[in-house]
Amino acid sequence: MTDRLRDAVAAVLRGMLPNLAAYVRWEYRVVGAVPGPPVLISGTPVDGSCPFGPLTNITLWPGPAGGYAVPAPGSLVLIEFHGGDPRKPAVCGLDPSQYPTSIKLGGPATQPIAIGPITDANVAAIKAWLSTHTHPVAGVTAGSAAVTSGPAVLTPPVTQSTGSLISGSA
Amino acid sequence: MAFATLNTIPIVTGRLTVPWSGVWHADLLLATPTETPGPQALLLGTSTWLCAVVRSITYAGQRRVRLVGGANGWRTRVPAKQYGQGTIQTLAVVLDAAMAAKELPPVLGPDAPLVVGSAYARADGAASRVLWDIFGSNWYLDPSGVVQATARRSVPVVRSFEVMGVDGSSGIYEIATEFPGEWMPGSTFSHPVASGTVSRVQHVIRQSMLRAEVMVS
Repeated sequence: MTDRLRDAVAAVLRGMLPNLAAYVRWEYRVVGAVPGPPVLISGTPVDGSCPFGPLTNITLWPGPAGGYAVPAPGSLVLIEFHGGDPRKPAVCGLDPSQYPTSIKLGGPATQPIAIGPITDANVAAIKAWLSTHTHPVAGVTAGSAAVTSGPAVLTPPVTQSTGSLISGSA
Repeated sequence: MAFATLNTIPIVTGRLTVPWSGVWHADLLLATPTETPGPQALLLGTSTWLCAVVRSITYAGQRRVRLVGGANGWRTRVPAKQYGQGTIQTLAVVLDAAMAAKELPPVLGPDAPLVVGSAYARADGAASRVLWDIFGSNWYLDPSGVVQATARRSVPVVRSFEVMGVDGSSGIYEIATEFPGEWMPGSTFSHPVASGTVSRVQHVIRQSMLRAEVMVS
């Protein structure tokens, strides 16, 4: 049993603003994702009042241009409809409390990029290597200013990261 | 024979509202309490309107009914449905909605989009929401209960009529005519004392008379 008058007013509002629900960002739980590009995400609405039901293969709109992350099943995403138009669904946000299964940053895969944990590890390795490094130079004797050239090719232990990362590799 | 009947039952008083967009409806007081289940035929002068009963209450030997054009389906709830990535044909989406609502297939006019887009998420809710989503205000239910997915056409009123009154501040004329079917949203009329384009019309039955209350645009 409901209030008929209230229901009627609500129906009028829905009639006047049929796309009202399409202006809301809805939380969806990921049930599957197709790695991109473009990344296509399928999910079910978290809120039972969401009128759109399960949606499949919704395009993820990336954050940084050319970059994207593939959300893990079970994580949350935000789905919106551009311009409030139910013909234009898009995933516009990823779960901040969950790690993606992979991240892709812009540019070709061979383009080096700096990723925090990898870079930190490399800097630490270089520092350790330099701290313990001894480098013999030919012709040098203690107390002498005369220095002759010697081999100076240094190869610090650096791991180069590239455009693609898989979760856990960092 | 009565000039206004519902399934042959004479109408005492009533009002048929025809909006520019959407589904028309009527509220009537009938002369007898006889129930006539199923599809309803509302006869007003020379025009026939096919409709269904939304509500019917009998009191003191008279029956009052609210009617809605068509089969009362466009206001019923249909479940959410997604039309996936790709080219989504308009006809497929609206036929789906019509079938779910048990209504007749809509007719797409020449100005209706043939393609909805590359995706469409039909929301759980009134079936007519699909029509609003796709056609905006460019759709209406015709007297035969079929959705016409097109903008209202400008059609001149050609048969004689009399202007019985005017509410100037509201832009509403009271028209006497033997041909109420001519007075539809989009109709244009010209008269020595009044002219305009009909935006919305209410056909009013009272005291054995039929009048069109015409709101002009």
